[in-house]
Amino acid sequence: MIFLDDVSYRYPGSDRLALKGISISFPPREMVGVVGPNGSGKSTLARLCNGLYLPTSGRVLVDGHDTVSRQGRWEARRRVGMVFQNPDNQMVATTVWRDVAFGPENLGWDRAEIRRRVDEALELVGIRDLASAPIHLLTPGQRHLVALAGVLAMKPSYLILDEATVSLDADTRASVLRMLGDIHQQRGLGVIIITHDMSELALADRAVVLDAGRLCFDGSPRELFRKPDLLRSAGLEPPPLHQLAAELRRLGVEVPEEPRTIEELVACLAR
Amino acid sequence: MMMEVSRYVTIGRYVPGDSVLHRLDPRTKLLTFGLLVSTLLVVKGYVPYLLLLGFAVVLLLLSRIPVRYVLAGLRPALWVLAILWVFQIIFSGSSYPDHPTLFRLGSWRATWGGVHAGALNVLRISVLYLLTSLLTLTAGLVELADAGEMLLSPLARLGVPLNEVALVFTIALRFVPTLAEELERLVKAQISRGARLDEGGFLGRARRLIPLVVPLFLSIFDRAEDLILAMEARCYRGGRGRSKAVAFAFQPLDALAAVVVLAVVAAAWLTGLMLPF
Amino acid sequence: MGLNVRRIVISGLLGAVAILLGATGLGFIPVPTPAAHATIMHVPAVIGGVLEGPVVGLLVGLIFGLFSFLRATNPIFADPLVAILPRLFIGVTSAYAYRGLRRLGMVPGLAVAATVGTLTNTVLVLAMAVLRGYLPAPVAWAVGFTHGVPEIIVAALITVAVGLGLARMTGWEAKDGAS
Repeated sequence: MIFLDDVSYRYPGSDRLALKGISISFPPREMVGVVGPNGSGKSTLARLCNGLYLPTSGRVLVDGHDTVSRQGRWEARRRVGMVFQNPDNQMVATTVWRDVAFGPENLGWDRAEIRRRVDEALELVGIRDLASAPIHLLTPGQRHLVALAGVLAMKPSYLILDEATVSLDADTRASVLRMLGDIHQQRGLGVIIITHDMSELALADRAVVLDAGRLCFDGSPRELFRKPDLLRSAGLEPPPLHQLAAELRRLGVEVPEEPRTIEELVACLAR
Repeated sequence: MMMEVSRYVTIGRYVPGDSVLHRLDPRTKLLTFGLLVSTLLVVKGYVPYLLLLGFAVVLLLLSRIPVRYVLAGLRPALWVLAILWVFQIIFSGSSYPDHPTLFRLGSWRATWGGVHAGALNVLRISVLYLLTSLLTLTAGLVELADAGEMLLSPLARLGVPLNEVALVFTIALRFVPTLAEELERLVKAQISRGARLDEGGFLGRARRLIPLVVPLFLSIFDRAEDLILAMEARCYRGGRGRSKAVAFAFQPLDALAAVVVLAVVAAAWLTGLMLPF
Repeated sequence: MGLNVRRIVISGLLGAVAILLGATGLGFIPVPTPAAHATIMHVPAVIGGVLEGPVVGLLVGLIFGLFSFLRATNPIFADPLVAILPRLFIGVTSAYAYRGLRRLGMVPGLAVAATVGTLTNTVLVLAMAVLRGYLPAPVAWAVGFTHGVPEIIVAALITVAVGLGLARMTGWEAKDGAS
């Protein structure tokens, strides 16, 4: 469990709190989407969860380890993996295999174990055949997968994607999210998706909305989509699919409460 | 030339292969290279230099790298060396006051001493060039950085942060293509504003260089912030307690190579000491 | 030696810039002399020393030196004593020059640090070339003057511009203000 207890955070040199008295917990094996507009504090929240930032007040506990101590931060970082937005700026080695091995090397594992975990992680994201490829010859989508494999190889209990898919094209993004959903299901990996794009909530069990450093919603995505006013006041838009469904409903077409695909809506129209 | 900045800028010249040289342990490559280079730096004389030149040529043939490829790089250097040789002859009077005069140019006096010193330089530089080419053509730079870290590991016990320094090299090599892309963007932006980058004299070139190089420098500090966070998120906390994902293994071939190189080096030292030319 | 994550990353990235300047030819500016090129490849070492101290300056200089040795654009750099050794000092002298002079203000401090770093490179490389017998002293003097002056000018311009840009972007050295 990642547990934030009345956490506030102020950036050094700033006179404004980026997060104001947040209390929230992320239990294991859950898929959560944290949404909010730019500047809402969602990335700050993410970076508090693995001790990259330390709370100005309050406490952050990861499986009981307080990030305020050096040892607690280490335990938190081992458990909470994090993928950032620009994969180019998070890779340190010149080839795929060596880069994915960077995290496991930091954990001090022996060579046999590193080999096993790295190969496994590459397999999991489907880029085993790229193991010896130089990073700079990969496509942007492949680079994202390398960044993801680099974190998965460390066997985290939780994975935070800090706007990690925003720069991907729609198809690649959908396939990355599907793959994450599978890994979440099969391995019981806790996944926290930080995003300003509501369509990334499609696979989440739970939605959390941040606005101006405050928590303003915590519940199921389905419930959230029924609150367009709350979304609008937080500067967010419901996913296009839900907007379309709402529009159709207004026109008197009978549509399901929770549309999953565009085909579903097309079928309703055809009826 | 400057328009050709591409993300395929390569710095290593490694050509994969399975020659005897390629198959050596990277530590053997680096260590024998170091031995040969330091011999060249200390020993002086035609006999040892020709011996080492012969050995370098044998290695070149063993590496199965096209000889023409290596010599193509040496040719422009030979011109500069020839010019340096001429300078050395012309200005040699003061270094060899007791040598007879070859000819005079104004107040300068050319001597045979200058001719010999220049010839030895050309030989030494040529052998150094061959050896460096052989090393970088048969081994990857990251591999060599790893090998260097392992060979110097006794220094780590004295507190030298070798693991960190090897990581610095890796990051530098990793980011050359990324920064090349960045530079390419900057060059294109300048060109689209009508700048002609490869024309003009010194001042013009210097003035046009600033809007390319300064943003390039500034861009790395944004990247640095991202990379620091990413490395810390991936549990980096310095070289202590880190393990290494790669290992090298010495083979019988490495022992053979070490013996041969030691013999050549010993011969070069002996001939350099005993033969007065 | 204080090599924290920040210094490791900045050394690596500045080293990459040094390699890139050499590999693309962007680091060379034609000068009207027989030796043809002035260089700005040493500027990353200067900037590393000024911003992050002598250790970073030394590491960036080491990368510059190794690259110049392995690539040997000029044949005398095939000798590691000429190519590598002098380069280790560029960032170190710049770092101490800046530390000593920054109370005069950021711009003069940066300009002097760049001048000191450039002179370190020019003087030590040429001295080593003379010492190793590749270059007669009179030729070294001539090369030193024709290259030294333009290299100092360009290095100072770039270093000051980067320092000012960084002060605006990140508040680096904000206490000295944009003098």
